[in-house]
Amino acid sequence: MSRPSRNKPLRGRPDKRFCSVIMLFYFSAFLLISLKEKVHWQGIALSVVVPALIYIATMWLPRFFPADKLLLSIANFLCALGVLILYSTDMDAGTSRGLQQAIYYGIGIIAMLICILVVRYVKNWDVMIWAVTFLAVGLLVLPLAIGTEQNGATNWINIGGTSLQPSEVVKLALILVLSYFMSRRQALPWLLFGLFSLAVLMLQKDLGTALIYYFTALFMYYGWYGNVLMTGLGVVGGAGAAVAGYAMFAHVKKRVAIWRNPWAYPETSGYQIIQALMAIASGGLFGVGLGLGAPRVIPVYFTDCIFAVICEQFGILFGLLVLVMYVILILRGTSIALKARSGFHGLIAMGATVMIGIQTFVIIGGVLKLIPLTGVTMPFVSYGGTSLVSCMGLIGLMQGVASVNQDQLNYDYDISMLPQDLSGMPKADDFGGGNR
Amino acid sequence: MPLEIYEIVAGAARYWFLFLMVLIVFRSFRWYRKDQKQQKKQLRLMPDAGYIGEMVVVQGQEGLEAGTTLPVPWEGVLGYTRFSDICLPVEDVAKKHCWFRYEEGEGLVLEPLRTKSVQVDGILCQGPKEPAVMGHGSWLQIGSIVMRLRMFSGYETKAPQPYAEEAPDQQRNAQPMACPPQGHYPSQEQYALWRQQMELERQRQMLAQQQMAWMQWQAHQQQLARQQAAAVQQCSAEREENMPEGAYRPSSQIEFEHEETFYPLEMDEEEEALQEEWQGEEDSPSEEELYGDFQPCDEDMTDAALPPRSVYVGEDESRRARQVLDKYLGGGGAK
Amino acid sequence: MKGNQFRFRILALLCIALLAVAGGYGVYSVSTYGSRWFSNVRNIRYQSARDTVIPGDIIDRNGIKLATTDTEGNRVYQSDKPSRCAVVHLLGDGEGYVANGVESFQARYLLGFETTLTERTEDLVAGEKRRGDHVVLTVDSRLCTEAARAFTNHAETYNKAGAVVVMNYKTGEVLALVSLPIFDPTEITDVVKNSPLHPFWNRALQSTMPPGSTFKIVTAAAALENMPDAETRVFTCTGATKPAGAKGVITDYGGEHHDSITLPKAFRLSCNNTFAQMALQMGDKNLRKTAENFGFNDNFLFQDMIVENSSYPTKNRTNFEIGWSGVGQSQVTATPMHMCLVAAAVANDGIMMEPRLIAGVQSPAGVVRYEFEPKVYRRAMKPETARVLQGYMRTVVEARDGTGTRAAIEGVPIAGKTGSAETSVDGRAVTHAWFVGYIDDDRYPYAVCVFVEEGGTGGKVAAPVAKDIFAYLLTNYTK
Repeated sequence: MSRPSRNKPLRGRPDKRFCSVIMLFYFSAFLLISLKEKVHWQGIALSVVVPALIYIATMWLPRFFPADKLLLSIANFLCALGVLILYSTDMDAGTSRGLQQAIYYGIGIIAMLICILVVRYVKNWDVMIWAVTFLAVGLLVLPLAIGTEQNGATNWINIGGTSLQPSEVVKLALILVLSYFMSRRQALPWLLFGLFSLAVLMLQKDLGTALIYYFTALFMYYGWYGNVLMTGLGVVGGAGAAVAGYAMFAHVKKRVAIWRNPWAYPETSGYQIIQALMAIASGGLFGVGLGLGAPRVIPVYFTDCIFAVICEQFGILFGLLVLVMYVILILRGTSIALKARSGFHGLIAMGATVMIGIQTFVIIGGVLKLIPLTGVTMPFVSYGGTSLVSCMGLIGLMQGVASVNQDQLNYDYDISMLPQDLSGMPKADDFGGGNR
Repeated sequence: MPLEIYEIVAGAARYWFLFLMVLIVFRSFRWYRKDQKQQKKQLRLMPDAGYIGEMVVVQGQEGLEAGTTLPVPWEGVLGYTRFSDICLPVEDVAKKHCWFRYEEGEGLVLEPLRTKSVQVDGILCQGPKEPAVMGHGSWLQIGSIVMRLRMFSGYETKAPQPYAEEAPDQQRNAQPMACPPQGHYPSQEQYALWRQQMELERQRQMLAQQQMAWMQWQAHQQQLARQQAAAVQQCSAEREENMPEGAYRPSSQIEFEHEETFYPLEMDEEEEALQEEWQGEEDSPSEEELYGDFQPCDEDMTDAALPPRSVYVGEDESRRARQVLDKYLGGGGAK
Repeated sequence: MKGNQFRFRILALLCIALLAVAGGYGVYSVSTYGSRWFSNVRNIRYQSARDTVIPGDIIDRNGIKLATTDTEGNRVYQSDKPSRCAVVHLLGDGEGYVANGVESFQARYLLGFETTLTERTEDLVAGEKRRGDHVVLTVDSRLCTEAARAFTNHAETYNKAGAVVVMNYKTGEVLALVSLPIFDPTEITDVVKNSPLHPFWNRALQSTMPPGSTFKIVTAAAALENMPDAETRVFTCTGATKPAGAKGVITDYGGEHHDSITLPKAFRLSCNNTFAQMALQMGDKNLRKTAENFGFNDNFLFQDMIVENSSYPTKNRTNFEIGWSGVGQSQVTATPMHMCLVAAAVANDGIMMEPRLIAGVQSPAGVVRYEFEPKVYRRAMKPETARVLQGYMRTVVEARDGTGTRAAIEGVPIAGKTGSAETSVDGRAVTHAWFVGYIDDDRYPYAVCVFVEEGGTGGKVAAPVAKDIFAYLLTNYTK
């Protein structure tokens, strides 16, 4: 009888086969792009380094840390896709976003490991959670004090040349706080924290992140309490708040106007979405080809509209398949949450999964003009240090819960061999029938 | 390469990338499915995984017969509906009667909902401000239902003094080796060490029993052989006596037709050496040859999942013991 | 926890459903609107393509090259000035003043975005510059020239703005698409740019105007399908019908009144009162449903051109407005192209074909990339209704008291309907002149719509232009 071991490889080694296809993909992609017009030695180096990094991160890292291989592989694939797109657009522009993204990926891996260890080894959450809460509150309020403005939202801090977005890091704290207090059935602390963070985000005019916070909290509320009536009220309340925001804030009005008919404002506010739509349309089913097309025409193509760039270069079919990868990520996160034994861990895993799902929907819907374009980024793929770090942190939370599950399963196996103490327990024959 | 050629190459490469992407999606999904199947298979082998114990109904009602066992998960709801983790479909129990969760070091913590109450070991707990803690052997009374909690070994913690009137018998310490001594609250690691000691102890017992059984068989065989030889002697002596004069006298050496029933009366040195060799060999004979219908089984192992017996008794136990050693005292393992 | 297990699964399903909705919407919108987004004149990919690709030629149905590229890379139109000016709105000019002309809307073909990889490789190997595909239109440029000339020939239409649309009602091919005033694409002067008549507008496709009495085709179709005794019912036309609860009255043109009148006669004489009463009697809902069957309120997503949507109002309908809607006024709007489609639907026994501009696309090497096939847009009405309306429209032109007699040609079965849409522009009361009609002969299955902005009465102003076009078709189109 085999022992449930997370390190035992599956028959047929699907992990190796998956990893090898990804490595082949990136090797060929970087090789192709580095031969455009002249030989880019950086690209050729990347075509070797990126697959090697993927191999190391997927095969070796789980040996030293309790990481979940499947989640890690998918996250690696998406991060490398981001690096590929950024590098291919970098080449002519002279920027170095691709390489910066690779560095942020390294930081992201560290953040992920920290999250795994935090979920696994912290036993006394009663104290820890208050520390997390105060840290989160501090980080949220920081941009109000020393923040700078970018793209209409004041939630960036400039530290030594790099800009950080604390609201992305607070996402992790949000999930932890919500899970802890929901599982303890103390509604007041998490309600207060949620409302406070929403209020601060509204003040900073970061409506996309506020949307994500709100719906994540709502979904987690439904997942734990199961009160359909209140959840419905929450949805209605959210819609009401959206309408109120529309009436109150001018820039919300502008966003909704360009969502409904961007062709009426082609030179000014509608320019971004029009260019994104034109890029997607010119890609068609199969795309125009890697390195071709005109992606840099789209303003802020490297964060918000990176999906449009992917659809232009690789085609909308490819974009759909990338969405399927996110779906597999959600499936995996859910199965981890289902196997969790305590409500706290289950909520952490589910909250992280739901957050990634909602964020992906908001950005893809915005780019495709399904919903108004907000300022959120595409998880793992978009350029942006803090966004990548926070998404890797979310993955880390999920993997932490998975490792706790595995430990408990192993413990169950070990003790299953123990003799049971049946003394004093009434046996079935004592009652003359009617056992389970 | 110049732009025109690059455009053509990139145009052809589109299909290649799309093909690879389809492959990537398929393989990731297949990996996910295989992982799911493996997990399911492992859980099937351990049906008690995820539960910390059972509630045995001692005194029940219509709809909840006495003797019913209800598995207790780590965290959940106790109530009337079928959606609750411990389902008690009797009128005394509300739809959601109380929350319970397992705390390491404490036990099963029960928190009744606002207006509900439970009785744990005779103490009435009402409302969420008075959480009750149950350990192995605790009694739980809700309305007219009386249940006793049996925690699986490994999750046992302190066992509070049971309510004297309700407990039918006090044979708690009947098997001293079956559970850790009273008052000793081990942690997980200590528990594992203790368990490993138990394994080694059991293995030693097995080996001792095996030795004894082998000696018995030996003695048995020798006795048989001596009896046979005595019978033959007597038979030939009788024939000698009753034999008429001039009859054919067979030799004293008895020749048998079938080799299998050849019992040597006296072993010469060669044969003795061979027999000693055979005795000392690693490969012991099979169970059936050794014991026949004499089964050295463990009376303790009744409920826990029995591992399949291997052909060589003691073989896989020792292997597992070695694994346990590696895990908790060696490298790798518990990370 | 069992409850959690169940709810977590639901949450996961919800997230996956959200993503599926996003993906599905993406595929849908790209497949439906993709070519429109791409053809937008602001797409800079065209600019960059024009540097590397020689744009293909645009050829009319008879082989005349309407636009081509010379050896220096300049775009060259026809040398004959009237012909060149007549098709300027169809093709678009080189600087983007005219929106959505063939040059930009079909840039997908003209700039070589549809060339296959093998063809590109062959071009590369041969060392030639890439060429775009040649687009063959269904349009007859001589007919366009004739239509423009017809406007100048008649005193009532000289120097007026308007549009002419000619199409084949059996296949949907558009034979002429002319918008007036026209200008010369090779010399776009400041006079042209600042002209108060806005010559850059393509009035045939873009200007939505009240159709006036030409809408009575739709009202009559609604009556025939919803009122069982429509053909025989007797209406009383007093010259002023006051709908219930209205403050004003519905009058006839010139203040006429017809006393007792039936539908055939009312159609022939274009009696507003009758049609207003009919609209009120059958109800706004029925009339709107029929109008929507004809394509009003629909988002036209034609493959070859962008046509502004026609509208039949849906909100706040007072009886007064309903009455006037029956007559084709009061916020009912349509483009000349759509009214041509309406007439074509009547001619084609109730089936409205989709208007097509592209007859075929060929690569420079002669490989046929695309060939035209007729496509049905929708079924506007039942065949029996169409046949009745065909009879009515014949009487409009052929009967002595019909309003469209000026479009009649001796011995030729021509059907039509006139329209005089009264509206106000900048506070002035103006009347737009309309005429829609067709030749009721299988050898010449052509429908025509003539629209004269601020022209006056349809029968007087628009019908003679239509007659010229019919005459040209009959003489020059041998079948």
